[in-house]
Amino acid sequence: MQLPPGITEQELVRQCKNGDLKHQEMLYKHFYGYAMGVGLRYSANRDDALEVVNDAFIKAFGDIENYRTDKPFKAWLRKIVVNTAIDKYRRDKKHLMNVELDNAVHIGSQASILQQLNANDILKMLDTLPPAYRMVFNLYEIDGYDHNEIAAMMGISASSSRVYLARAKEKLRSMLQEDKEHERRV
Amino acid sequence: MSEEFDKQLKSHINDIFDNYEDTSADAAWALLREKYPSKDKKRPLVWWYSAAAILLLCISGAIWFYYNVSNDKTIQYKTDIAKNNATVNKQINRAAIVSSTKKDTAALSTITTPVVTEKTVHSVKPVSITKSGRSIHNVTFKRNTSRAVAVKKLHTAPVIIDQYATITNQQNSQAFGADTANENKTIIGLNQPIAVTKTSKPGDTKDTVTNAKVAATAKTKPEIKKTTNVAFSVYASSFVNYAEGSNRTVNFGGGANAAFSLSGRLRLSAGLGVYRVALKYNAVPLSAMYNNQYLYNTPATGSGSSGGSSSVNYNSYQADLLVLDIPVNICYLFSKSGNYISAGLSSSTYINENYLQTYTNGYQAQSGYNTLQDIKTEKHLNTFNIGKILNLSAGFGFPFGKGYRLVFEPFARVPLGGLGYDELKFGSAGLNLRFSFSK
Repeated sequence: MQLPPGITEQELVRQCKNGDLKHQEMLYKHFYGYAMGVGLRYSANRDDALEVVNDAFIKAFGDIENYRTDKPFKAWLRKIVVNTAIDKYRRDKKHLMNVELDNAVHIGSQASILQQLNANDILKMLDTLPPAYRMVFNLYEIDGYDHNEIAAMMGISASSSRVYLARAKEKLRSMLQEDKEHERRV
Repeated sequence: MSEEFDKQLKSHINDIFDNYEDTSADAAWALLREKYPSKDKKRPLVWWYSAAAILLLCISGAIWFYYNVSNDKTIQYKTDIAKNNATVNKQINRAAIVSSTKKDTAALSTITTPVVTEKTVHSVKPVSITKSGRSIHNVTFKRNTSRAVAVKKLHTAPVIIDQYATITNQQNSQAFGADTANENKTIIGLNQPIAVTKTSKPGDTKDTVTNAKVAATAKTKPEIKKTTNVAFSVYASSFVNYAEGSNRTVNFGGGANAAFSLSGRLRLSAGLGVYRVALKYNAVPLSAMYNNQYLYNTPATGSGSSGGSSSVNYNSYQADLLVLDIPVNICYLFSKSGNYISAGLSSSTYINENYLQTYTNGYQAQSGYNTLQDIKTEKHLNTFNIGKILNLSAGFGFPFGKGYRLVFEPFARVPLGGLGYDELKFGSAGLNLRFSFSK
């Protein structure tokens, strides 16, 4: 969402630091899409992602005093969304079921090459991964955490993190390979 | 091979999700407000509590101030006189009061004018108490009272205490001890409290002071006329609202005030008022636009969350507010006639806030469906603006019976910032008809 003329991200953040509700709403709507992009990668479905994003924004508004304006707000928000998603993962860990690749869905007939994958295709692929694999893949490959950090965040060992990542990548590769084969046959 | 694939996958996911857009921001925000409503609702409550506390403090202060200060002046003199009559019976016009004892010396005190001891000294002429003896150390008192005498006020001339001085009251065994001063010369000016403490030790009782006399005169002064310290008033006002880009409208209001005397000519006035503000704009003020992000950003097709504003044409914008005003002003009185000027700040909240925006949808207009649409926003006690209105006024009073006064008060309210939910900058100018009374 675009900001109204004459108002910058810095101004928005400054007003939010004063606890101004209207500006909080503007900030929320401005960064909502971005936050959802992060939240969806870590969540099994859209509802969970929305919960993560909203929880993350509440944390952000509550802690915005500590945000340093010399750094991009997006990066700060991204970190909060990721941490919130991890918190949720740890909370729901007991109830999460591992989905095997055998149940994997087809990404789509157009998925012959990576570049043709859209956001939905990627999310479908990620959905087929077991939650732990998905977390590690996102944290390591997309968000740039190392295995020690991931281990601390997820409450697993660093070696487990390495194993999960390797398996996640392997499964994603095989899924895309399978799709390629499927396309070739068609 | 696989590493290359991983890199490509990573880069592609980053590209896609860094620029991810989602159209459900409005619904998601509504959900968030539903889930976490506390801050929005609690904030006004906090303001309300603060305002109530301040108001209560003002009222308590006024009552205390009124009953204490107004009674103080008369009671003080009455009690002083009564006490002095009861405890001090002697009057000495000129006296030398200190004499020596067995060992050596004495101090001689010379009291030039009557002195009233105990609590208050009312003397007409300067009092000078001087030491004329040789020794300083052995000044004691005939009556061995350990109580210090505190002379609270000296209403007229200054007192000069030169080294040690003693004042005793032979006849009054009850309260009167002695007073001594340091060797340093002390000058006590008008209306300054004097604290004189006794310095003699029990071992010095051998040394006595003889012929000590104290001058005491309870010179009664005429009672000071009771002044009025708090004035209450109720008022009705008619005024014109003004705001940039808005038509001017005439409105009415009313309220009550209490004014507390700070000094001879200054008064602090605080109160509570209610008035209405109606504004009609031809274009939507920028501040109000912030509150309607959906309209501002959404194209006429309406489903997305991003786009331009070109598809929406605003026709008018109206605001109708019922303002609860808490003014705190300083008044400067010119004369006994009660004419004054005043200035101060108002804090305000809004009992009702109604905003109405009408607009036409540009895309629909192109398709021949150019219908007028509107957005209504209604808020109750949602906003509290502290000190955002500058009050300026002048009052011209006319006596109206005993203790009553009718005041015509032209006034102006100047906004110092955005007011209300939509942060509109509006002011008003008009006339208060004030009915003032004091006890």
